[in-house]
Amino acid sequence: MNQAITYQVDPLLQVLNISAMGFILPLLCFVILSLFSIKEKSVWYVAIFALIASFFSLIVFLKPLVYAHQYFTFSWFQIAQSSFQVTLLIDDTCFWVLTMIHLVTLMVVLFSGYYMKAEQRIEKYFAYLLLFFTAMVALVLVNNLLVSYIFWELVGFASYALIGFWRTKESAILANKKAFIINRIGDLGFLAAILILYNQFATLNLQSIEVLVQQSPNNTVSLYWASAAMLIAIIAKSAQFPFHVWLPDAMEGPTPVSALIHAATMVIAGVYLLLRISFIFPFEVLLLLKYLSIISILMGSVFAIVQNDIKKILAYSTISQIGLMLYAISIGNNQLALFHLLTHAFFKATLFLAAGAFIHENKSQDIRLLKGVSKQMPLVFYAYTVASAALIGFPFTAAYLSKEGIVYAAFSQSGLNITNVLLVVSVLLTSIYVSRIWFHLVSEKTADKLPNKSFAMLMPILTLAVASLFFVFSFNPFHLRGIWLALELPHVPVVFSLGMIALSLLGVLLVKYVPFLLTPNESNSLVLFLQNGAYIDRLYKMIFVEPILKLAAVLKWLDLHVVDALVDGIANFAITIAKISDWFDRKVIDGFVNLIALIAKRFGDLIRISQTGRVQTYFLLALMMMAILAWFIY
Amino acid sequence: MNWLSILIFLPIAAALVLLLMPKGAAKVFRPVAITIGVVQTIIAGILYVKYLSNPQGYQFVERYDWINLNLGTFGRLNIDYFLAVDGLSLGLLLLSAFVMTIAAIASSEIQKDPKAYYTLFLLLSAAIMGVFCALDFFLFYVFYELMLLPMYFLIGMWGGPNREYAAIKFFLYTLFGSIFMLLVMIGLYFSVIDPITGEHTFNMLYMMDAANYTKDSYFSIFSSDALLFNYPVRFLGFIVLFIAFAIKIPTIPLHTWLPDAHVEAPTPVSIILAGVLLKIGGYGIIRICYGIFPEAAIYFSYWIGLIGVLSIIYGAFIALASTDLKRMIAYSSISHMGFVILGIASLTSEGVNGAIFQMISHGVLSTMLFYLVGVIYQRVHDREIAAFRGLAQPMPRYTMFVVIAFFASLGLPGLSGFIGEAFTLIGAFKSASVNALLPRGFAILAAVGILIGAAYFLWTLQRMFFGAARFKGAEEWNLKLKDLTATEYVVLIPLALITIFLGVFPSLLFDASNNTINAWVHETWIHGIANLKSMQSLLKF
Repeated sequence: MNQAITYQVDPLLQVLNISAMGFILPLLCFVILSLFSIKEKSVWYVAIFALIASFFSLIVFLKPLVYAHQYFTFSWFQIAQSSFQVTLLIDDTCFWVLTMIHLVTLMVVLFSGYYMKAEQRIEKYFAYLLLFFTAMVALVLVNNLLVSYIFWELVGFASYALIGFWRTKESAILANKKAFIINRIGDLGFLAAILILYNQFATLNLQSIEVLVQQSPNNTVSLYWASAAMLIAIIAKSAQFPFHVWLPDAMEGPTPVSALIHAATMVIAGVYLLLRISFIFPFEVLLLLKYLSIISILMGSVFAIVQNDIKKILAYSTISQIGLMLYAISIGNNQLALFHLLTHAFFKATLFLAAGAFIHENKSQDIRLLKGVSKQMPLVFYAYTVASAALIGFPFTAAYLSKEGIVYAAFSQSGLNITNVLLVVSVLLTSIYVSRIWFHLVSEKTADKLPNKSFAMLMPILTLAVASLFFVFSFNPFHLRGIWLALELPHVPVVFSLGMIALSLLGVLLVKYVPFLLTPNESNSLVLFLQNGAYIDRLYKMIFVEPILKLAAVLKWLDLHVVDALVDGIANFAITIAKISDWFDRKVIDGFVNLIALIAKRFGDLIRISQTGRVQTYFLLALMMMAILAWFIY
Repeated sequence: MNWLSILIFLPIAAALVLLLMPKGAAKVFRPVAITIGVVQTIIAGILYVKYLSNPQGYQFVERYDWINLNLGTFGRLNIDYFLAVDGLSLGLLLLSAFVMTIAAIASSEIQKDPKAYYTLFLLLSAAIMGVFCALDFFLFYVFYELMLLPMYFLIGMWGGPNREYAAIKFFLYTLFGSIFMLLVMIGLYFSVIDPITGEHTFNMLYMMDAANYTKDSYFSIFSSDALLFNYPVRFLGFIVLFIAFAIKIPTIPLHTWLPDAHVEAPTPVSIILAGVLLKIGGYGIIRICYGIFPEAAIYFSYWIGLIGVLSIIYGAFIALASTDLKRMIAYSSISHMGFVILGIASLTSEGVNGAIFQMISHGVLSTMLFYLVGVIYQRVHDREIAAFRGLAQPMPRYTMFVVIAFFASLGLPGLSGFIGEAFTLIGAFKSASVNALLPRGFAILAAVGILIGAAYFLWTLQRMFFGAARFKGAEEWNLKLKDLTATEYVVLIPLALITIFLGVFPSLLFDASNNTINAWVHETWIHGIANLKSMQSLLKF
C-alpha cells in the first residue's frame, strides 16, 4: 500500500474522533431500534435528535477540516503484504453533499412523523431510515473503494428494507426484491472494478490510485475494463437505462422513503461515486456514458408524460434528472453535475413530500383524482409549485442555474450535434410533464380547505421548498457567477438563458392548450406502450428471468436424474453384481458342492434300501450270498 | 499442558462416563454434551488468543511414539502421536468446538435413545478435534475414519423417513474416497524417510519436503520411472487425495450425498455436517493435497479452479430451483464451498486467506441456517417453501434472524460472508498476473454465482416470509408457529453476533491465518515449481 501520501495529524484526528460520535449516534439508534420493539412516539424524537446531533458534528467539527485537505487513514486488516485501510476524505464536495443529505434526511424524518403516524413497527421504519442515512454519510466520507463498496451495498440493503417496509403488501415485496437484485448486478460491476484496480495498483485507496494513474498513463487497458465495470455499478444504482426498471416499482414503498431515495441517498450514490472516480474513466467510456445518459434523460421524460400516478411521474423524472447529472460528468463537467445534484435534491424532496401530503389526505396517487389539492392545502401546493418551477428550470430557483449551466456547457463543448439537440428537447419534455401535473392539481376550484395544520407536515415541505430557491446557492438569481459554493462554473450568455426560459414556457403553454397532452388517450397504443415503460420490464422477464429459472429447473432435473441417478446406478450395478455373484455362488459353486453331496446321498440312499433291520431279510441275503459264492467256487 | 490432547480426549472421557450412567439419568446427557462443548470452545479460544500473540508456525506441539513395530524385512513401522496447530487449523478448530456446542444445544429435539446419541456425538467431537490437530498421516487417517462411524449412525438412526438410504450413501461415498487415501498414505510411508532416524515415517511435515523421499521410490520427485499407467505416480496420488477431500467438501459432481444427508439428518447433525465436516475437505486439500503434492496442485490448478467455479454456479442454480428449504440451503452450501476451492486454486495469499475465512464464515452461517430451518420444522414438520407465506407476521423475531443469515450468506458487506467471497475472488483474479494459474474469467464467472445467490435468498424471503400470512396447515399452524423460545435465542444470538463481528473485524481471523498462509503460499509455489521442473525433465510428460 502506498503510505507516502497519507498524513496523520494528531489534533485533527482528535477532532475527527469527537465528530465521529455525532455520526455514530444515528447508527447506534439504528441498532437499538431494530433490536427492540418500542411502540411510542418517542422513537420519532430519538431519530430527530440523532440527526440533529449528526448535523451539529458536521457543521462544528467537520467543516474546519475541509480546509485541511487531509486524508484520515485507519488500518483495518492485513492480508499478504497489503494492509487494507479505511480512508476518510473531507473536502468541499463531500461537505456540501453531506449538508444536503443531513438536511433532506432530517426533513424526511420530520415528515414521517406525520405520514407514518398510524403505522405498525414504526421503530423499525426509523431504524432503517437511520441506517440508510448512516450508510450514505459513510459512503460520501470514505475514500477507499473496498470500504465504499461496503456502504454502497448497505445503502442498497437499507433501501430494500424501506421499499418493502409494508411487508404484507405484495407489490412492495416484489419491488424491493427487484430493486436489490438489479442493484446486485451493479454491485458485481463494482466488485469487478475493485478486482481490476487492486490487481493493477495493489491498492484501493482512491487518492493513491489517482496518483498512480497520473504517474503511468500506460494502464489504459485495465482502466477501460475497470471504468466499464464501474459504469455498470453507477447506472444500476442511479437507475439509468438499461437498469432503470427498479425505480418506478420502488414507489410501492412509503412516500417519505421515496423522497429520500430520490433526493439524498440511493440514486445519488451512483452520481457521487462517479464524481469521485471519474478520473479513471477514459474518453470512450465517458462517451458511452453520454449516450446512455441521453437515453435515460429522454426516456424518463417521455414515460413521465403519459403516467397518471404522481409518484411514478416523479420517479421517471428522477431517472431523467440523474441522467442530466451523468451527462454533465460525461462531458467533463463534474462541478456542474455536483451543483445539479444539490439543487435537484432539494426540489425533488419537496415534490415527493408534497405529493406525499396530497396522497395521504386524498388516499389516491392518481393525478386525475388529486385535482382539488391547490385549494385543499394551499401552502403545500405553493411549495409544490416552487419545486415544479425548479424542476422545469424557471428563474429564481436554484435548479434554473444548474440546469441551464449543464445545457450550456454541453453546447459550448461540442456545439450543435444530435445529443445536444436531444438535451434541449428534454428540457421541453420536462416542462410538459411537470406542468401537466400542475394543471391537474389546480383543475378543481371548489375543494374545501383542510383544517389540518400539522407542523410535522408543513415545516419540512416549506423548508425544502425554500432551499430550492436561488439564494441558497447564489446572490444572483440569473447568473452562475454568484454561486458561493467554491465551484468553477461556465459563464452563460443572456441569449442562451432567454432561449431556455422560452422553451420551458412553451412546454407550459402546450399543456395548457393541447388537451391531448393533459389527458393522453389511453386507448392509443403508443400511449399504452409508453405507460408500460415500453414493456422493458416484460422484455427483461422474458429474456433473463424466465430462462434463468428454466435453466435452474433443468439443472435440478439433471442433478436428480443424471448425476444422482449415476451414483444410484453405480450402487445398483454393484448390487446387481452382488446378486449375480450370490446366485452364482449359491447355484453354481454351492450347487456343485451340493451335487457331490447329492450324489453321495443318492448312493447312500440306494445302499440304504438293504438296511431294513429285519433278521429274516439279512438271513435271506446271507443265504443268497452264500449261494452266489458257492456258485463261483463250484 | 497438553491442550490439544485434552481437546481430543475430553469428549471421549465424557462418553465413557455417559455409558456408565443409568438410563434414568437421560436428562443430564445433553447438559454434559453442552458443557464439554463449552469447555472445548474455551480451551480452543485460549489457544487462539495465545497463538495470536505470536502467530508463527506450528504451536502446542505434542509428539510421542505411538506404534513402533518390528516388521522384520520391512523394517520398523513407526507411527507417531503427533499433534500441533497453526494458523490454518486453529481457526477451524475453534469453529468446530463452537459448532459442536451449538449442535449439542440444538439436540433438544432428540428423544429416541439419548444415551447412544450423546455417546456417538461425543465420539464424533473427539474425532473432529483429532483431524484438525493430527500431523501424522496415520493418526489423521484414524481420526478421519473415526468420524465416519458416529456420523453414519447419527444420520441412520435419528434421521428422517429415508434415513437409511442417506446414511449409507454418505458412508459409501466417504469410504470410497478414504480407501484410496489409505493406498496413497501407505505409498507415501514407504517413500519418505525421517531425516533424523533414517526410518520410514508417516510424518506429514516430512512428506512435504522433496529431500525426504528415497530415490526411486514411487512418490519420489527424482525418480525417472515413477509412472503408473504411463502417468506420474505423484499426480495420481494427488488426484486420489483430491477426490477424497472433494467428496467431503463436496464439489460437483461428487456432491449428491450432501442434499440427501441434510434432508434426512436431524437438525443438530445437519449443523455438524455443514458447519464442520465440509471444512475438513477444504482443510485436507490445503494441508495434505497441496502440502504433499505441490507440483500436482500447480499442474492441475486450472481444473481445480474450474471445479470451484462450476460448483459455485451449479449449486446456486439448483438452490434457485429447490422447493425444500433445507435442500436449498444444502445446495447453497455447495455453492459457497466452491469459493473455497477457487480461492485455494488461485494459490495467492488473498485467495487462500479468503478461502479459510469463507470456511469459517460458512461454518457459522450454515449452522445458523440449518438451525433456523430446524426451528420451523420442529413446529409444523414441514419445510416446503410453498407451504409458508408471510411468516414474518407470526414470527417477526425469527424472521429477523433469517434476514441476517440470508443476507450474510448472499454476501452483504458488514457481515462475514462478504469478506470470504470478496477475497477468494480477489485472489482468483490476481492469480492471472501473479502466477498465471487461473484465467481472469473464473473470478467473473464466480461473481455470477453471487448474483444467483442473491436471487434465491431474496426470492425465498419474499415467498416464505413476506406477504399476507397464509399457511398450508391453516389455523392449526397459526397456533403452532410461535416466535422464538429462550433456547433458540441462546443459539441464534451468538451466531448472529459472530457473523457481524467477523464482517466488521475480519482481522480477528486474518491475523491468525495470514503469516501461516503467506508462508504456505510461498513454499507451495517454490517447491511446486522446483518439483515440476525436476519431474518434467525426468519423466518427460
